[in-house]
Amino acid sequence: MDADVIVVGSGISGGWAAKELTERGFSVLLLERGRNVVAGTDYTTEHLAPFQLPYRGFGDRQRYARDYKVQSKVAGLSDAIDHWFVNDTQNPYQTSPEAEFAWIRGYHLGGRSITWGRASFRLAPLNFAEAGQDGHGIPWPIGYDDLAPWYAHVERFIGVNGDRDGIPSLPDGEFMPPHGMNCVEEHMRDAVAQKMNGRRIINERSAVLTRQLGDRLPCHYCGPCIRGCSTGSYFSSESSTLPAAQATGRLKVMTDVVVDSLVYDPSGRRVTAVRVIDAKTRKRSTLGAKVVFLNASTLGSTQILLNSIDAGSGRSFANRSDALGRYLMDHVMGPFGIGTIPGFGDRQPLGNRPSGIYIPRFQNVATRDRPFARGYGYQGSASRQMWTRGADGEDIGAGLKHRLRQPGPWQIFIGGMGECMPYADNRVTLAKDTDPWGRPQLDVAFTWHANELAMAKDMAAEAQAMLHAAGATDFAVGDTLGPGGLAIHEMGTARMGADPAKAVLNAHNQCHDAANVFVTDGACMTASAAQNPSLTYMALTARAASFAADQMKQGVL
Amino acid sequence: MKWIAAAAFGSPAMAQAMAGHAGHMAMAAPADASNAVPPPPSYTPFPAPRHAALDQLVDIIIPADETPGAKQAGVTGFIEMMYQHWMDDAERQRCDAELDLVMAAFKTGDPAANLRDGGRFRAPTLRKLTIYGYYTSEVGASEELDLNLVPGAYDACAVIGRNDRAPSLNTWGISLSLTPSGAA
Repeated sequence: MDADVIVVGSGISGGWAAKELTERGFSVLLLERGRNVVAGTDYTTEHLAPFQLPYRGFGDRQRYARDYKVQSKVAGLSDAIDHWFVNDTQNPYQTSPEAEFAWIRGYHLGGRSITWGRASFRLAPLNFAEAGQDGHGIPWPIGYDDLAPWYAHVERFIGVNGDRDGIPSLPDGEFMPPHGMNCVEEHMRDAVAQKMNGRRIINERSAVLTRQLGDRLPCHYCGPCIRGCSTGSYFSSESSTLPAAQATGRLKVMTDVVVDSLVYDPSGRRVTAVRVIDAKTRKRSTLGAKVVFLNASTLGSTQILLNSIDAGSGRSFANRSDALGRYLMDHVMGPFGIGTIPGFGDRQPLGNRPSGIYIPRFQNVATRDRPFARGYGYQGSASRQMWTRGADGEDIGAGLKHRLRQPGPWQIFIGGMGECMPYADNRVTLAKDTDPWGRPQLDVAFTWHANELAMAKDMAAEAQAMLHAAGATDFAVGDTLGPGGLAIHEMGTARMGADPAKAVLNAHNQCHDAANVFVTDGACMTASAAQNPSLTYMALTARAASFAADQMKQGVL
Repeated sequence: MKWIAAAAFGSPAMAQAMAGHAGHMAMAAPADASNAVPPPPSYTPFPAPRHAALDQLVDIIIPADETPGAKQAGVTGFIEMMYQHWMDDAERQRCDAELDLVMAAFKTGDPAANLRDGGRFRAPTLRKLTIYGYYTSEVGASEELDLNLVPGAYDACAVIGRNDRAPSLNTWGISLSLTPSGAA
């Protein structure tokens, strides 16, 4: 035994597994396939000005065209952040133009907890109740009340700011005070409430501190959180869960270790070892533990399970249901509205707020009022146009220079994010080609179906209606969807469900077919809801870790 | 220039504690080279006459007044670097054609008039690059406009005075596209 528990992956959910299990007295070996990242020291672009970056923040475009063909589909990939994204040439996977999926990844300690958008919303009782009841998917094996205390536990530790808004489709949590709306956002909030039947616009709830929390300092409003935060002001594994796990003295971290597969013992119906590959030397070995937590990201964990063959059946030990790899979801994202709001010319935000506004789901809540199932919300913000607006003009000289010296008009932007249904043909399988570590590559196929397309049209129409209500001029809306994956909310490929014939995991995120294997990253999601999912992954992880710890203490595991 | 060094904010003690523990096979590791910021790429300036014309053009687009202009801010070199290391072939050809046109205009008796076609400025790509190069340069970002890398506080809707200059940064970062407006 190398530890009581092996946790695979150090991102948002893996960090939580390590923290909860070590704090309950168990030794944890945390495996990270990417390089080490030292908080602070390795945030090398934090607070750099454009002229201190090699391409002024416009990105190393020729290198991206060569080696970052997928990752560069992310808006804003630049020389300030490209070290947090994988080189696609070195990390291949298969996808086709007809069913394209953009797999956006970062292989380093902390994973996407460094680059996440920090929006932290609870799922609502409605989200748990709908799944499997309206012709889409299967029922969740848990309800909101099962998860509510774990949401509170997570919120208190990570530090979430927001208001207690009292909205049924978006339950309140344990909040620090919000950063606050600017005057144009307040104007739109009031106009939309007044003209659109009380529709709510609220402060986004986000995992950025507005008050000191332990050693973590409140936000200093530099703006681009994604570069890393040396004051630990936003939640990441580095700022929060890994130090807590480290403090117990029971955490051991191994970086540059790729997991190949799990060794399955059919007679005991449990996993006995983890096959690993040194990422640099490609030397193979095995590691042993009583319990394995898979937190390697939705597709990463699924890849490991698909590659974990039960010799008896010749297929993955975890795939009796045939659900493993299927039901891939990503949020419906892309439709937007943007408009100019006249007035407020004597006002300007000072400081760069790391969050914005949120418009909670208002469709199909009390009654089915839309031609599609489930619903969507919007994130957005208002800001003044900056000097970049000069590029649209024809003027030159002193006039141009003096014009751009002042802030431009106010603009407000809102972008939709909607629920995606689980479809059996949106799936990942193992390809014949192998990756540089000798593992079968993933083949990812994903298409939007009629429900998502109808939702996207509605998002654009409602965005236009709200901008109109706010008195916007020059507004533009879009209703198109790009390839799946670009919300970077991929989930569902090892879903939870009470029925072992239809789901991979039970109500405790435990494999139906291997009691000592838990999957608590996005792979476990039975339904996507419309809310940004990371807070739910964290709460599910804490809950499953508590269950696993109890089972180990009772000698069951 | 309100520019507070990052070092003014100490790393949290617990983040420091991580440094000694996380690493390959649980050994302490130095900061990984993958995280290092590369230096700006070296580039070859345009041939002298073209370089001189570009110097002259950027100085016309954003001239010096009480703050330095684009020429003093090194925008010529920025455009030459982007030409070599960032643009695709079609964008390079567009820059070449625009610079040819600019050089021809400079040889006439009325360059200002000949740089225009009605209301339209005839070198839009170079104009855009001049703007992006100037306001991301140290001079443009921090002397002409207001650079505040670590504000330390947030005021959602502060009252601004007539002489306050706009911030040169936003929350999200600034991207550049040389696709002509109206093109797909």
